[in-house]
Amino acid sequence: MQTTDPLASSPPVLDVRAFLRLGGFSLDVELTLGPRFVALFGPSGCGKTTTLKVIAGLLRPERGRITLGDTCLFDAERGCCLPAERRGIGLVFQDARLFPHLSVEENLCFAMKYVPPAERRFGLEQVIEALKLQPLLTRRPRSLSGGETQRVAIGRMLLANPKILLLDEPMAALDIPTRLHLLTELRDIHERFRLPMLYVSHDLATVLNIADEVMLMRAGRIIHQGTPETVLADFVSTDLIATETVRNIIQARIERHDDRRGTTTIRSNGVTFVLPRIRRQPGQPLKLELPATEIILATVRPEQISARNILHGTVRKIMQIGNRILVRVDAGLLLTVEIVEATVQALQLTEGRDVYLIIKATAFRLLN
Amino acid sequence: MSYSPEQTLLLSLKVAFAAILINLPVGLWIGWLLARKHFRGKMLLDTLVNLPLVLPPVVTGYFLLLIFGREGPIGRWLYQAFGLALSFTWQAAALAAAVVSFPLYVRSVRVAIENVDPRLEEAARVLRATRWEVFRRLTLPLSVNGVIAGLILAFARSLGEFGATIMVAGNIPGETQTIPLAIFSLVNQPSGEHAAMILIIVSILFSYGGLALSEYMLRRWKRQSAE
Repeated sequence: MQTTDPLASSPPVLDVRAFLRLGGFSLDVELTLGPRFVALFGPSGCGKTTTLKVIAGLLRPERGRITLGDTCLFDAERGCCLPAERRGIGLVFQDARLFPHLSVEENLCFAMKYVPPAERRFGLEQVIEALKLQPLLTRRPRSLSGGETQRVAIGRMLLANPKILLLDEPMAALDIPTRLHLLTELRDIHERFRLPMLYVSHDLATVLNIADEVMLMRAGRIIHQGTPETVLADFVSTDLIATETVRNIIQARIERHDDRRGTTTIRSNGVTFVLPRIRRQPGQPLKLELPATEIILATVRPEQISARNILHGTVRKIMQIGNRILVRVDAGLLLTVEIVEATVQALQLTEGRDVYLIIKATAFRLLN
Repeated sequence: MSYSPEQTLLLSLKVAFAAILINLPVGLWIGWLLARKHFRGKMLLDTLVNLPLVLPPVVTGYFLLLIFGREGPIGRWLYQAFGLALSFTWQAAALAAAVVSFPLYVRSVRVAIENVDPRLEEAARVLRATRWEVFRRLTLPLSVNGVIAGLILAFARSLGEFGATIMVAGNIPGETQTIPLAIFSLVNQPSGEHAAMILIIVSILFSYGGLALSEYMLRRWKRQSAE
């Protein structure tokens, strides 16, 4: 097998330094985006969408410099400012913005004529397949559901051949399972096409288990950039996820069915779980959601218990957020467990301690 | 040359078509500027464009004569450079009709473009479309019914133009005598009333048809954008 130079195919790095005043609001961001899946999180009105627009070229900063690899997209001092259509930066809007006079297929193909065939990294067929758009092609945008609309918007943007994809999370339009499903699909596309992504989210709990890196934003500034763990650990007093449910996202494959017991065994990263019977063929991939509150922690191996799943693991991190405690446990795969403070004391939990995780078969929810 | 009803009708149609042909691109551009751009002197441009709507057409015609007449700044240039004398030709009648009907068309274009969601245009820019491509593939198709409604209205107004036309193009049968001018001349002749009546009926039909068609296009457009 031939090895290729990893640098030759690695995506370009985006470097942003931008200052902008809009009415009484001032944006002052400095960020670097490598080849990873990064979540940008912050309260509404903190400047997340503005940041994306500045990067994409829809808003012009007063000062600063934006570069993508060797290309200068904006430099206030040198007076250069590449127009949005020549930046190669993809932006999927919160409200999708499909063109109402075009069919889904025409929407998808909108940008293709501007990309020379030799440069296209995403083929129409590939995108249709990855986002499951085949049955929607002849439909009109107005007849689509919220999730379908967003999938078309993502596909349409991919076909414009962006070097980096910025995404503004749809808020009210999508219910949580649909949003989670979309997020896992994005993660797949990120890995499959090696496309760097910056995902703006209003719900830190949702992105925590999907993003490689999290940026926190407040009042026009990026106040932190790091792994999900460090973000949670360093911002102990943060109220950012005060009310949201933290969800574990598990990617797995169906191993076997047990028709006598009415259960299905799945495997994820070497760890097996038993669930109620799922109507799918063994070997098929699937994604599951497991709320952090649905996992029980024990320090001794429980016996004679109804729960079907007992995992052995080690406490990696204990994090306090407001009056909630999140425990990251490495049980072959990283799982987040939410407990109350009294439990920490009662079980004398410390980082590095061996624990058992107890999960009912019915605690999982299928995402796709 | 003597009066002929067919010729008058054909001339009127020719003048009106030429007028909206002149207006079509210019009005799209001005309407787009007024709908989408903020610039110094926007108010002035807006007022200037709408002026013929309230100015007595005769006054509009007088100004056109000043500008495009052989002694006028543009008229002199046209004559010296191309040997063109515009005054008292059917082209002058078309110019008069174009200027007078321009505000009606621009208003319609402006409203139609203002009703296209600018967020869609932003999305198209990110999808690698240049400003012109955005206009061609998004703004224009989404406002096309409003634009057509404006054109029909301007066409009907052009057919009825009298005051400015008589100033710059005169009232020459077979050359610059359009329907309204012919009606005026016929009614002033002792035996012309019967001939005038035919043209009056034609005028009413054209005006009514124009308005109805314009209204139909607008309704269709509103229905589409409400879908």
